[in-house]
Amino acid sequence: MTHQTVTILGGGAMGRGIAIAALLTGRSVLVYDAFRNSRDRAWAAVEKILGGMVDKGKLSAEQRDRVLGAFRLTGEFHELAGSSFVIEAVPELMDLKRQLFTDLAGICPADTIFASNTSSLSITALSAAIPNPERVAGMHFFNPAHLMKLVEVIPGRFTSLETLEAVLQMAEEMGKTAVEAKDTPGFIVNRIARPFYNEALRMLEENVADHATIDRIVRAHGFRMGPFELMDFIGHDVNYEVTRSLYDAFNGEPRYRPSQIQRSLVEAGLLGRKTGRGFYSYE
Amino acid sequence: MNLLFTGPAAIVNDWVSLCDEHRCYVYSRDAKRHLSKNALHVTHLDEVDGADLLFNFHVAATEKRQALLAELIASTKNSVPLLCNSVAVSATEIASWTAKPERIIGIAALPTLLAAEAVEIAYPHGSARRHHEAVAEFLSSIGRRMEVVNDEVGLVYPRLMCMIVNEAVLVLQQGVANEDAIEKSMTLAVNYPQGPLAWGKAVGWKHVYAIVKALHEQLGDDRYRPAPLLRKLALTE
Repeated sequence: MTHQTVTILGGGAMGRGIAIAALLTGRSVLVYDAFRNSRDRAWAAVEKILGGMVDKGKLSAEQRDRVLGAFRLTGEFHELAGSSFVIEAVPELMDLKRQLFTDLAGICPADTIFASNTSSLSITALSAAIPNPERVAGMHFFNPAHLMKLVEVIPGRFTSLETLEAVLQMAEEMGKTAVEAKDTPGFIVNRIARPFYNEALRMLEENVADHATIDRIVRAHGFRMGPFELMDFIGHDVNYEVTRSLYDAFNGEPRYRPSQIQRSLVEAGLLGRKTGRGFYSYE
Repeated sequence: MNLLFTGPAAIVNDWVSLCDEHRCYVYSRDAKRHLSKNALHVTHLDEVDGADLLFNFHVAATEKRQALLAELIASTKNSVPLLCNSVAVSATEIASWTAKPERIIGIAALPTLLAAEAVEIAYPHGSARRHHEAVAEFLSSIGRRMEVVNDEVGLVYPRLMCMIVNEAVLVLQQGVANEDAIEKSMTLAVNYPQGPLAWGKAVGWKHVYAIVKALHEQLGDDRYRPAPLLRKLALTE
């Protein structure tokens, strides 16, 4: 097995999920997060998820202990020196991701793989200023990353074939279905799924039907959730931001124009399930 | 009930199969037409023994379709509603072609749509909705729930899906990903019941293209311009 240890930047929901997926390949995992609280939460979350797997009979208690024994969190950047495979899962801020990769390049070998879990930023733009940009590629997981089967793998303009193959192999060893996508805004999923939300919002604006009717009709065709239920679940702030970022990245292409209705929900703080109200009330 | 169907075989046959508790007539001048075995094929309307509901499933707005609707309206009782496919032409526009607009009701009809437990209908603008109970009762008799939406091209589900398919076709055309990657992505990452390209093929590229093009023309927004590859798929289907 290549890359005995996987280094993950960021201990949020995505970082934890990716950590579990990597741990279950039999590798050691080192998660870097600058914040003590985040590290504590990440440890508790990983422990809980692995415990749940034991309860469901998917993992023995011994296996869980072994997996947890291979899991470590750190707030000390210098401990990442010598990493061979890094996956960043920090917030979607280009400057933050660039800085972390640049700093890592200074303490890691020139062939260390730098994979980014970005859902919306350009891999080419991210890699351009980093020493040896041929080792940078996109590796986009879906939440919860330890359960969701798909990983989008994105070569940027500088990505070498060796890097691409290493990332594809890592995804496959994690039990994922890896699909390759060109480095374009939204890659595959976030782009093709956009009309599911945007067109539903447009129909609501035009009063073709109310949100509950649209949801009922879509569910009748085999979708687990209608678009408004799903937007409430995702959070309108998150969903609106993805749409806005695609709209900007495609230079104002009308297909991605954000909806006034969603903007108003965000401005009102009615973000969906997490605030108790969105299109539906959860209070 | 006596039901009279007109339109493309791919849609009519789905309906006839589901309506096997009713007497189904299919009116077509084409004597060799392939039909489900529980349908009675008629080439003249006077062979129909009093229809209770009329259906026209053509998708586009053609002169032939307008002539057929005029013939159906002239040859049947005034009390009988005519459910017309309004996925690419609004019910209001269809009603405006006829001498009896109050008989027209829009319906979403495409291959595979009947697999859903709900059927969308739309009344023309200003309709008195006289046939509401009769249509709801009929749909219930075939195990389908009626969902009433306001009249606009594409209704709800066909419009939503056609826009997703149009985006998927653009992604394919631009080489962002291949067909296999697109289908796997949308089923595995966001749990779509099937991949958008498989849906487009099953429904028919020419139907998807007709709906996206109609949305573009009717709503006048550039967001609805069809992907160039979608047009090619429709032309070569």
